[in-house]
Amino acid sequence: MKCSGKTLAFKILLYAGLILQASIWIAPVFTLLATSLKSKKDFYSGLGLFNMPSHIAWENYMAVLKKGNMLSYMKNDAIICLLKVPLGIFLEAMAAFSLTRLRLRHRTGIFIFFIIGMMLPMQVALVPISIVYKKLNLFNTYFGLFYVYVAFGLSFGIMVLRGFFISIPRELDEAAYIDGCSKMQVFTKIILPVSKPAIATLVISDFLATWNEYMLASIIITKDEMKTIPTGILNFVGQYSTDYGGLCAGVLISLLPVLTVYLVFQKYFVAGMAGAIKQ
Amino acid sequence: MKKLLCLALTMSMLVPCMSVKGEEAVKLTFWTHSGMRDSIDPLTENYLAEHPDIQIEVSYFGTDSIKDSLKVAASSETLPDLWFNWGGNLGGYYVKNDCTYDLTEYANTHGWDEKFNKGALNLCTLEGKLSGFPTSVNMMTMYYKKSVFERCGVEVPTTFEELEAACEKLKENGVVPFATAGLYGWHLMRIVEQLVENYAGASLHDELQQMNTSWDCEEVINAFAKYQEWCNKGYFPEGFITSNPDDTLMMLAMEEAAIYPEVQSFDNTVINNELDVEEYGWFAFPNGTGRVSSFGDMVQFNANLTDAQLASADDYLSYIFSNESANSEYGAHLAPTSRSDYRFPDAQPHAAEVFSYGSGSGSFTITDQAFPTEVADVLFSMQEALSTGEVTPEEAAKALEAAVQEYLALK
Amino acid sequence: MQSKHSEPAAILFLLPAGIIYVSAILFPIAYSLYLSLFTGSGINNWEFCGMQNYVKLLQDKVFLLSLRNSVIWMMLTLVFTTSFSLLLALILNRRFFGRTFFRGLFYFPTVIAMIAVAIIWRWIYHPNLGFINQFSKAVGLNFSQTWLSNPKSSLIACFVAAQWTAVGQPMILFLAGLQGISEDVIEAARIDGAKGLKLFFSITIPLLKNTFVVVLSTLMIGALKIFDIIVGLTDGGPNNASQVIASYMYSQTFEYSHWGYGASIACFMVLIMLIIIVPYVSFMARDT
Repeated sequence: MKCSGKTLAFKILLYAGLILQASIWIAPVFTLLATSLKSKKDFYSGLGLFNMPSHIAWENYMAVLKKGNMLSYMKNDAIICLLKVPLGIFLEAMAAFSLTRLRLRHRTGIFIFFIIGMMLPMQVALVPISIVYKKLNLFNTYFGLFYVYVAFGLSFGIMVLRGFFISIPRELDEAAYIDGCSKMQVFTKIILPVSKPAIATLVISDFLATWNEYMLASIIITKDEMKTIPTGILNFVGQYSTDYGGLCAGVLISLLPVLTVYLVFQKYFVAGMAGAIKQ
Repeated sequence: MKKLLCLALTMSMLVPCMSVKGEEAVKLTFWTHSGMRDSIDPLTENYLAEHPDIQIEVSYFGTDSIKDSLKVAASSETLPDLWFNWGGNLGGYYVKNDCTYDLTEYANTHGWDEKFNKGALNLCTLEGKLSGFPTSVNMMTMYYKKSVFERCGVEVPTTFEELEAACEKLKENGVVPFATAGLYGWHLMRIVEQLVENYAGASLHDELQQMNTSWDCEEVINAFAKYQEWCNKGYFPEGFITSNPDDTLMMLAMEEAAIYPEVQSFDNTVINNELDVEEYGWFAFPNGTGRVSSFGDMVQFNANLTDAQLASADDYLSYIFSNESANSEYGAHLAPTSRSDYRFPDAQPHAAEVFSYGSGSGSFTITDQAFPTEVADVLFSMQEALSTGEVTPEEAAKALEAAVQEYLALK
Repeated sequence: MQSKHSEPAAILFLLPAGIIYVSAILFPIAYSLYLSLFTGSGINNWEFCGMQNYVKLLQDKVFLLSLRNSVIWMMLTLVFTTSFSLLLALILNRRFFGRTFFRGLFYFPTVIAMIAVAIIWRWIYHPNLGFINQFSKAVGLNFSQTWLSNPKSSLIACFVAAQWTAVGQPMILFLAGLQGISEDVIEAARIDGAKGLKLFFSITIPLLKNTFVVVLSTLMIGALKIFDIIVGLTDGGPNNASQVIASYMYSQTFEYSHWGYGASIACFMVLIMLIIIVPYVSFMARDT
C-alpha cells in the first residue's frame, strides 16, 4: 500500500470532516444529557450548558421512572410492534406474491391502487377512523392500533416486496411446483426464505415507524395504561413544562429502547436497508 | 409463521372483550390535563376507595393534545363523560355544538351559587348556558424579582408613564424588561392586551372583545404602535417571537428579564421549582382602568349523562376540586379558586392578594378566550409581524378587523 | 404480462391486505374528498358548497405561502439532503478505520421519534440556554443566533434541524446502491480512461438510477408531509413564515374546526403527491 503525501492529506481532511460532522450529530444528545443531569437549583441559577452541575441530579431520572408510566408505555409499544411487524409483513408479502407470481388481471392497476396509500397524510384519516372505531368499540385496544398501523404500512411494504419478488428467478418456483408444492407452500417455503434481505428492511422500517408513531396513537388511545411512548412523551411535556431536568430525562429514557435495539442490530440496519433497492 | 399469526390474532381479539366489567356501578370517563396528574391520581384513588359503587377512569393529556383529542372526539361522537376545558371560545365550541350538558337547572337546585363564587360561574356560562363544573378562576398580573428592581433602582410602577420609565431604566442596566415568549402567541398576548386596555379603556375594550366595534380604530393602532416601539427598543427577550412560553420563568429567575405576566398560580410554580417565593413581588399592569385579565377553566359534562352519572360526577368533582383536597398532601397542583370557601395555602403569599385584587378591581376576559381561535391566531400573527416590522400598526389593525369580519360572515 | 382471467388463489392472497387497505385507507380518503365539498365549522351544521373550498384555497394567502414553503422544503430536500447523503455514502463506502462507527452514528437520529427531535432541537436553538449560543460563549465567540424567530431564516432553521434525522435513511440506501455496483464495471471504465468526477458522473450516477428513484420519491413524499418539527420549533411562525401545507391543514382542521376546508387542503396534498409519485409508480410498476 503506497502512502503518498497527497493521500495522507486526503485522509486527514476526511477524518477532520467526519469528526466535525460527528460532533454536530452528537451535540443534540449531549444537550439532552447535560440538561437531564442538572438539579432545579443549578438550572435556575443560570448554570451554563458546559459547566459541571454542583451534583449530578439522578433524582430527575428516578422521578420520571417513579411517576411517569414509562415502563407501561414501553410494554404497549412492544406489544404493538410484535403484533404489527410480523403480521403486517406477512400480509404485504401475500399481496406482493399475488401481484408478481400469480395470474391476476389488472396487476399494474392494483399495484398503483395500493401505492396511493403512501400519499395520504395521516391527519385526514383521524375523523373517519374514529367514527368507525366508536361503532366497533375499538378505542383503547391493541387491535385498534394494530389495524390502522398494518393499513398504513401496506403501501410501502407491498412496494418493497414486489420489487424484490420480481427479481427472484421464476425457475425457482417452477421447480417447486413440479415437485408438487401448493401455492401457499411455494410462498412460505421458497419465496419468503429467499426474500430475507427485503424482509429485514421492512422489519427495521416497520419497527421504527410503529414504535414512533404519534398521530393515530394519540387519537385511538386515551387511557394512560394503553399509551405508547410518543404519546407518553407529550403527556410529560404537559406535566413537566418548566421542570427541564425531568423533561430531558424523560425524553432520554424514552429513546433508550429504540437506541438499544438499534445498537444491538446495527449491522442488520445497514445491511437490511439494501433490500429496498433492486439492482 | 402461521402459528405466530394465529396467536397474534387471538391475542388481539381478546383485548376488546376483556374490557367489559360489572354492571351495577356508575361509570365515568374523565379526560384532564396532565399538569394536575400528581394531585388527581392519588385523590381519585382515595375517592374510589370510599365509593365502591362508582368507577372512574381518568385519562391525561398535554395542553395541545387535549384540545385536539377533544375536537376529534366531538366530531366522531366519542367524547368522554367529563372533560377538562378552558372557558371562552375553547369551551364554547362544545356548547355551540350541543355536546355539553346544560347545568343551569342542576346548579339552581343544588346550591351552586353558594358553592362557587360568582366570577367562576360567569366564566363558565357560555352561550347563556352554565356549561361546566368551574374548577378555577385565574387573575393575570405582573410578577417581578425584587432584587432586580432594587439593583436597577426601579420602583414598582403605578402609572403607564412610570412603567415606561422603569422599562427604560431596566434596559439601561442590561435587563430585558419583560419575560415573555411568542411561540403559540398566548403568552405575549398577555402584554399586548394590556396595551389595548391602556389605550382603549374599559368600555371600548369590552366592545372590541365582543366584536361589536371595529378593531381598525385609533386606540388599537396606538396600542399596536406602542407594542412595536417596545419590540424595537428591545423590551422583550432576544428571539422571543419563537421562544417557548415554558422557558420564560427561567429568564425571570436568572435575572435576565424583570417583569413576568402570570396568574396567581405563579407562587405554586415558583415553589415547585425550588425557588424562593419571597424574592418576588407583583403589581397590576398600570393600564389606567386597574383591570386585570382573567380566565376560567372547568370540567364540562357530556350532554348524554344520566341523572345517576350527573350526581356522581358532581360528587366526585366536588371532592377533587375542594378546599380540603387542595390543602391536603396531594393538592399541590390544584387550586380550586372557583370554590367560594377556597383558601390559598400560607406558603403562597401573593396568590390570595392577587386573587382578591382581581376580584375587586374588575377584570376583562383574556383575549384568546374572548376571541374565536381563528381570530386569535391572526392577532398572534400580527404580534409576530409587528415585532419584525413586516407590517405597520395600521396594517395590523386592518388585518385583525378583516379576520373579525370574516369570522362574523361565516357565522 | 397482463392476464385475461385471475386465478382464485391470486384473489385470496390479495384479499386480507385489500380489505384492510380499503377500510382503513381508501375509506378515509374518500370521506375527506366528500367532506371537502362542504362548509361549516361545527359538528352538525354542514352545508354543501361544491368547489367553493378549492376556489377559496387558491385565494388564501396563508395557504399560498405554506404551499411556497413546502415547495422550498422539497427543493432543499432534493438538492441538499440528496447530495449530502450521497456524499456521505461515497465517503463511507471507502475502506478506512472507524467506517462502521461513522455509519452507525450518522444513521442513529433516524430512529428517534419526530416529537422528541423537535423537543431536542428547541434546546439547540434556545436563545439563552441553547447549545449554539452557549457553545459560542464557551469558546469566547461573541455570537448569538435567533434564527428561528427571524422570518427570513426560520424555515431554513427548521430544515437544518430536520436534516439531523433526514440524512440517515437516504445515506444507507445510497450505500446499498453503491455496494451493488460491481468492481468490474468501475475497473473497466478506469481502463477506458475515466477518472474522478467524470467517472462519478458518467458511470456511478447512472448505475445508481434505481436507488435515486427510491430515494427521491420517498424524500419528496416525506418533505410534503413534514409536520412535527415545524409545529414543535416555530408553530409555523413568525407570521406564518415557516408554515407548511401539513401544518396549515392541521390548524384549519383541528384548531379552527374548518373540517371541510381542511379536507380540501388534504385533497390538494394528495393531488401534489400524485404528480410526484406518478413517475415513481410507472418506474416501480415496470415488469422486469
